[in-house]
Amino acid sequence: MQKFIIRRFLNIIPTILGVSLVVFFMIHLAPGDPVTLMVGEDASLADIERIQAQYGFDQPLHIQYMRWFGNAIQGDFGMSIRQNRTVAGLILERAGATIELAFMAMFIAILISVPLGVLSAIRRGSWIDLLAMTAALISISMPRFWVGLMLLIYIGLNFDFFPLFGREASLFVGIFSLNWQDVVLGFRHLILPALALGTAATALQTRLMRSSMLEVLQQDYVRTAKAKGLSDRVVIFKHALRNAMLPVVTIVGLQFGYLLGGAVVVETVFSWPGMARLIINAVSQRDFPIVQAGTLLVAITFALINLLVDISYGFLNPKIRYD
Amino acid sequence: MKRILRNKQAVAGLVIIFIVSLTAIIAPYIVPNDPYTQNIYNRYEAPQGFGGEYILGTDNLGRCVLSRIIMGTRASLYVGVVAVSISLVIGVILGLLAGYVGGKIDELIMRFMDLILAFPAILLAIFIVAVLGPSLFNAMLAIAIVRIPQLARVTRSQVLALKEEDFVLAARSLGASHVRILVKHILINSFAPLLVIISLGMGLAIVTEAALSFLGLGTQPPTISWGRMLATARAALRTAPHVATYAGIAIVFTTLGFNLLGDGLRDVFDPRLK
Repeated sequence: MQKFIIRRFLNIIPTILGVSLVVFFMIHLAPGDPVTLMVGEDASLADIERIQAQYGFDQPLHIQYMRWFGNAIQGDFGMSIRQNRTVAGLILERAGATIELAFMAMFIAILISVPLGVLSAIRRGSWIDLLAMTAALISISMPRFWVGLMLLIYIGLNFDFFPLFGREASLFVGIFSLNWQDVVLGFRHLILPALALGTAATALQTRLMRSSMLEVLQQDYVRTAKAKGLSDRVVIFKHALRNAMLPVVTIVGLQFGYLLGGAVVVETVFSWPGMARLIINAVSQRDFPIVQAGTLLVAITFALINLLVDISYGFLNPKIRYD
Repeated sequence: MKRILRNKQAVAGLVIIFIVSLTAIIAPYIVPNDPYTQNIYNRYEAPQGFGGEYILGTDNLGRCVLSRIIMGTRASLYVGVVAVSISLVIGVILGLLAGYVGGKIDELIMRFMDLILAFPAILLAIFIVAVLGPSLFNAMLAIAIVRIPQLARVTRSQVLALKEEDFVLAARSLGASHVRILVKHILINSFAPLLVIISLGMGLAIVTEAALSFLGLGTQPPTISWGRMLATARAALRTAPHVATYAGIAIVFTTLGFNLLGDGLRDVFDPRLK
């Protein structure tokens, strides 16, 4: 197991290298020179050369890449072109809000999808099953940001409990510091964006939980357990559920990556002060260091989550051996 | 074909797709009002229902919401068809190459596909549009690129499964060229799984286009797009909730059609997954 974890860990290094190459070189395909953007069209040649030297733009590309990547793995993503601040500082300030949003969305998704999927499977063909599957199909077809808009219009505007925009306190920080006022405030701001972000994940996981449960319920060991005279409850929760959860765990990992990506659009709807607005603003201002760093970090997080999923597999299912 | 028509989901999907496609084709003839005409005295008119002049009300510039939604079907379907076609052509060619040639080429292509999959799709699409500049074509290209790996993977696995089949070996022993074998024997038999992915891919493409346009990175004015309608509606959720509601329902309805068809086809072609 230890060997597997180490090997799997080493495996993500090429991914990170590849991702960093894509992020770095794609930016250089972009039309428009960042230096001209910084100093304006009618800057003197001397000014341009000074800026180029300051940011290292006068070096050959592969040197620029090595310098950029070398700094990046030490957490230094350079300076923002438009704001006189470090990229790392700007991202650090925002990352917490995005991660909190993605976690809450996943929490809601699991909370709804696992029981609903199990219920649909054991009551296959009932009206609950039909309703859940129809709702899931429609939810998958809904753009998350539109769900956000609908929640704002039909819930946010009608109930003062839910503030419409922004974030005033961190739910997680509130929980850890036992500051109940912050917990409530954080929760009120977080719940609608998290619901919007989590719709597609909820729907997909419900469907998967159902089909996985249906498959497990047909297995011999489940029949044996039933034949032994165990109650349905024991069979379902002690024998079937644990194995039926396996595919769901994979999808939770994958979905988490998509949640981080989808957060970009949902955050825009709710003016959530996360990475999204930072990246989107940087895109429109052509502030490339921020776009590079943001994309790279999300991709690395995505890779790390998939790593965790692979490892957790071994703990959930002892049948899987790694060697 | 008969089996497809017996699948309720697939038929429901086909009916929705037919309605939406027909709407797109005859859009200019069925719009109740000119979708581009502005009338600032009629801003944010509430929906008036059937019989009224503006059945679904008006938007921030006093334009007829229903007419704009009807015209918007064109952009959505156009983006979906073009993006899916680009990803289909590139993905299938890469998949055929990887599976048929194998070895180093296979390794190289599949590693590159893994690289694309290392990014969350919507983020990569935003990144690509950011680099190339916001425009309709670049948005379609970005949507296509993020969809390529799945098509390449499915095609490759089909090739691997089929290339040792007797009928392929027979064709080869008869002296058929590689291209002929790939197209006439392997590709044709890979049709079913590809069709599922194409259908689901259309739904994803339409949602992604809406998201990019919502962020201002997709369709540019004056082209009418549902995503952009939602972006302008966001500024007036309280005064004009109808704009955001109906434009979104149009997206959901269209996407639902493609998802129903995709799910239905998958059940028909591969009953094990049901």
